[in-house]
Amino acid sequence: MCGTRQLGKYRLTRRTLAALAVPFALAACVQVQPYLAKKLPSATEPVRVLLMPPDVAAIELATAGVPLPRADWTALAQDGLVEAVADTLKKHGAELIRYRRAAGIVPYAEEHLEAIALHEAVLQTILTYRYAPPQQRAALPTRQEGLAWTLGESVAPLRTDYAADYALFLIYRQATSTVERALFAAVSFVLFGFMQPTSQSVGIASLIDLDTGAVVWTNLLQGQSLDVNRPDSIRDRGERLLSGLPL
Amino acid sequence: MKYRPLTTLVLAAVLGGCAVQVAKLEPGRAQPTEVSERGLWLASRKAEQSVAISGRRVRNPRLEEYVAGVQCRVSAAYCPEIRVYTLQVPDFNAAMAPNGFEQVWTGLLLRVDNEAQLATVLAHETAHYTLRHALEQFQTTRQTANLLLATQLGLLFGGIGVISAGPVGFSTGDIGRLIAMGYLAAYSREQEAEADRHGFELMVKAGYAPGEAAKVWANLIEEQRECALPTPPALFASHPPSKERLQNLRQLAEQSSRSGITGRSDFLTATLPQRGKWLRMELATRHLCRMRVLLGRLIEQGENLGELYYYRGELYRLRGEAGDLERAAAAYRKALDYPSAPVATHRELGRVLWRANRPIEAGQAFRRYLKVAESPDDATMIKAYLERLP
Repeated sequence: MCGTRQLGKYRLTRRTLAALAVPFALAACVQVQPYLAKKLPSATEPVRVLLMPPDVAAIELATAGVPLPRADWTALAQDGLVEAVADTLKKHGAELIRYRRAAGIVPYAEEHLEAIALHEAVLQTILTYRYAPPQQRAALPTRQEGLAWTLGESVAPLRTDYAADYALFLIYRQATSTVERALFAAVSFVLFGFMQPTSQSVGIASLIDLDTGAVVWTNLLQGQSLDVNRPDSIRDRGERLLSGLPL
Repeated sequence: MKYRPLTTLVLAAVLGGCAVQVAKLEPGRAQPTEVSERGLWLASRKAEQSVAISGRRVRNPRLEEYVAGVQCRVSAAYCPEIRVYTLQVPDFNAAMAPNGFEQVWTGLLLRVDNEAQLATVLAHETAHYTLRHALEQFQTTRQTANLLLATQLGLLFGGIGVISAGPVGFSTGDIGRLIAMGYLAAYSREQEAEADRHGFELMVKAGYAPGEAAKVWANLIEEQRECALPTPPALFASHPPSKERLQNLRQLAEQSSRSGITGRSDFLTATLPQRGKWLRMELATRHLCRMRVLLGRLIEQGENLGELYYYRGELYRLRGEAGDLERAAAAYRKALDYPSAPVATHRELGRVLWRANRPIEAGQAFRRYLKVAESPDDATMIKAYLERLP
C-alpha cells in the first residue's frame, strides 16, 4: 500500500498518486501503424532516398490549454528527428540525399511545388480513408484495401533534379503541457474525476516512388510527446517514425 | 445558491488585471527573442508559407508591385519588414501577422475607391504590426484563460457550482466564459480603435487625403444597411461598429490640417485589368444583394462600364426573380454599348432571351457570339441552341 501524506486538509492518497503517475506512464506509450503498398523489388545498389524538408511543430499548452508554438522546441525536435531518420536510413543501407532548401519563405523550388501540394492532399486522403478510426472511416467503393495512391508525373522534377529513387516526407506535431497544467490535470482528476489531456504527439512519414509517383509506404505514429531535451527520446521517436520502412 | 453579484464582479475584476501591454516595435528589429513572440512568428511563418504557394494568390507583378508600393509608403521605415500578398477572396478583409506577413483580399480592392482608401486599410494593419497587437492579444488571452480556470476551480472548491437567479440557474463555468469572451472582445475592439487612430496618422503622414479614411467605412455601411447584413452582438464583436469607426475617422480628418492625394488614377491603372476576375468571384458567393450595391457604386464611378453592366446582367440572370430575365437582357444590351463588354455578353444575352421565349433574338445573339468569340470552347452547345430554333 502506498503511503499517505497530509496536504492541508486533503490527503494525497493512492488515487492522487495514480493520477500523478498517469502522464509519466503514458509517456512511454507510442503506437505506430505502418501501411505498405507492396513489397519493393530487391536492389543491387543502395537506393537513393531524398529526404524532404520535414514539417515539425512543437507547442506548449498553458494551464487552461491555450497553445503556444515553441520555436526552440520545434528546432530541437526537427534537427533531432532529421538526424535520427538519416541514421535509420543508413542502417537500412539507403543513400540519403537532403533536399536543398530554397532561400526565402517557401523552402521548395517552384518546379517542386505541384508534387508538394499533391502529396499534402493525398496524405490527407490516406489519413481519412485508411487511418481514421473504423467507426468514422468512410468507405471508398471503387478503391480496394491497402495503399493505391499516386502523385503521378508531378514527381518528375524531383526525380530529375536529385536522381533519387524515393522521396521521404515527414510531418510531426506535438503538444506538451506546462508543469502547472500537468498538476492541474492531476488535481482535477483527483477532485472531479476528469482528466485533461496533457501530452500528445502525432507523426506521419511517407515514402514516394519517384519513378512512378506511387505512395509505397506510410506510417502513422501517435502517443505522448517526446522530451526535446533528451537526444535518446528524439532518436527513439525518429526510429519509430520509420517503423516498417520497406527498404 | 442565489445570484451573487459580488461573485460576478470578482470574476470581472480579476479578468481586468489580465490586459497586457508591450512596447512598440522598433524598425529594423531582427528575430524576436521572447518565447511567446518567437512562437507567434513561427506560426505566422508557416501560415505565410501556405499563402505564398496558395492557388488563391494573385500572381500579377504589376498589381503586386503596386500594393507593395502603397504599403511601403505608409509603413515608411518598417517597409522592408512587411510582405504583402494579395489573395483572390471575395470579402472585405486585410490581415497582418506578427512577423510582418500581410494579406489583402480582392473583395477589399473592389470596395475601396482609390489609393488613399487602400492606404487607410494598409496603414491600419501596419499599426497592428508596429504596436505588436498580436503579442498583446495572445498574452492577454493566455492569462485570461488561466485566471478564469483558477477562479472557476476556486468557486467549485468553495461549493459554488451553480448560480441561480429565481427559477433560472447558470453554471459558474458558463458565466465565467461569457465574461471572459466579452472581456477579450472588448480588448480586441480597443486594439482596433488604436490601430485606426495610429493608422490614420500614418496615411496622412504618407501624403494621402485625410477625408478618404472615413469613406472606407461609408462604403461598407451602405452594403450593411441595404442588405441587412448580420452583425455580431456588440458585447462579443472583435471590431468596433463600422459607424463608430466612420465617425472617429471623420473627426480625426476634421481636426487634421493636412491635405493629400486620393491616387485614384494609379489605383485604377493597377486594379482595372483584374477587376473582371474579382467580380466573377464575388458573383460566385451568391451574395447578390451585396453585389448589387457594389455594382451600383462602381457603375456610378464610370470605368469599364461594359464589364460592369455584363455583371449586372449576370446578377439578374442568377437571381431569377419576376422580371429578372428582362432586366438581365437590358443590362447585357447596355454592356454591348461599351468596348469593355466581355465576349460572353452575347452568349448570356442569347441564353436569357431563349429562356424568355424570344428565340429569334436569342439566335441573333448566339450567332454574334460565335462570330466574335472565334471558335469558342462551347461552340457545340451554342450550335445546338441554333439547331433548335424554329
